[in-house]
Amino acid sequence: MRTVTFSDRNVRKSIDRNFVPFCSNIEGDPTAGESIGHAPKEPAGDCIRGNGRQNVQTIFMTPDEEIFHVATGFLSPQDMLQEMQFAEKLFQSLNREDANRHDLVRTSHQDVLSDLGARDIDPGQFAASMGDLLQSAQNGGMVNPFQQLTNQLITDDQRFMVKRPLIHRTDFERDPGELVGRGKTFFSSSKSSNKNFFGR
Amino acid sequence: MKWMFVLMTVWLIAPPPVFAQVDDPVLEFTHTQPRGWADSTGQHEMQGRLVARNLATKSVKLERADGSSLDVALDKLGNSDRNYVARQTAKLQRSSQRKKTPNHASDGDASRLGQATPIKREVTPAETRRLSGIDWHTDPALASQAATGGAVTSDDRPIIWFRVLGELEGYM
Repeated sequence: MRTVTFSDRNVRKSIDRNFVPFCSNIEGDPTAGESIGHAPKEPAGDCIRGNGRQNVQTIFMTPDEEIFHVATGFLSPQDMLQEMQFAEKLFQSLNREDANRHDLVRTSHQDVLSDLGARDIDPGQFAASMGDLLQSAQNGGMVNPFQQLTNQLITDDQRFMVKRPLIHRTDFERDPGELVGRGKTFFSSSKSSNKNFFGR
Repeated sequence: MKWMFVLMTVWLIAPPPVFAQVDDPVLEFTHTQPRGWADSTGQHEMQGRLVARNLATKSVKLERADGSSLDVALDKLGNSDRNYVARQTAKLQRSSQRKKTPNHASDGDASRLGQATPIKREVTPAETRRLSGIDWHTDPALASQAATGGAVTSDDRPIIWFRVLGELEGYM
């Protein structure tokens, strides 16, 4: 995300103009996954939205550190801009005089869930999609079964906000697993630390 | 007689005594907006506006939409509500300081007109890390402070929190 998303001029401009950026290193957090180290100038590998959600989370908070929107895992510049627009709009609504703030956060995310036609992923259906992909590839067509998985990750983020609207940062930090789960998927292939991996 | 002379000399050369300025123990908030409030257990919630903070009794007065009010001890409030009260207090104090300072006459004019008066706070390099042209705060309290605008709420900005495994500048 550093080399692709935060290097994007429009993302940078929007962060600088409309947000206060804050970062924290989650090394040692029991819910964090494992990652192979990448140098900042290393060419970025291909990622789809939501990859590595245990390792990267983009979280939007009010100045009182109340969380009102989350987007876990990798976000492309376009995804990030879209999430920032959503967050800005919601933040403005939260500042309205007549706002019932908790309800507003809940309903905003429920609306997104409705738009996505949210339903839990069915492993059988996912396997069938993979089968479709292979079949389609053989016929020269294109199918993206990962879209289903991506939608699932987005839905999980929205569901978290419906369940925990305006949760305070310190309360969230007590159990981030509620958002990112406790499995160490995607980046879990290597048990060695970054230092060992590079022999440093 | 000699000690009298010494005492007189000390009294004459000593700086004038500084009496601690006693601020009004009750701060009144006029620009706050209605919001949800919850106690530290999360069991009790209400909608209301922060109207006053009593520094002596360490309590706040909240006003419901129907005009009724409620006094609540600060330590009964949840984290985010206490932060909110602290932020509003800081805003109010900054606002009154600006009004007292003649150098900021234009800010005072803007406040009287009810306009936004953003405060540009200088951030020292030690408080931030630069990546891809973005200065990232590393202390949540300072990020929270930076997200708070001037004397009116419309200056506030949301915080974007990049929670990541590894250091920003190094390998990750």
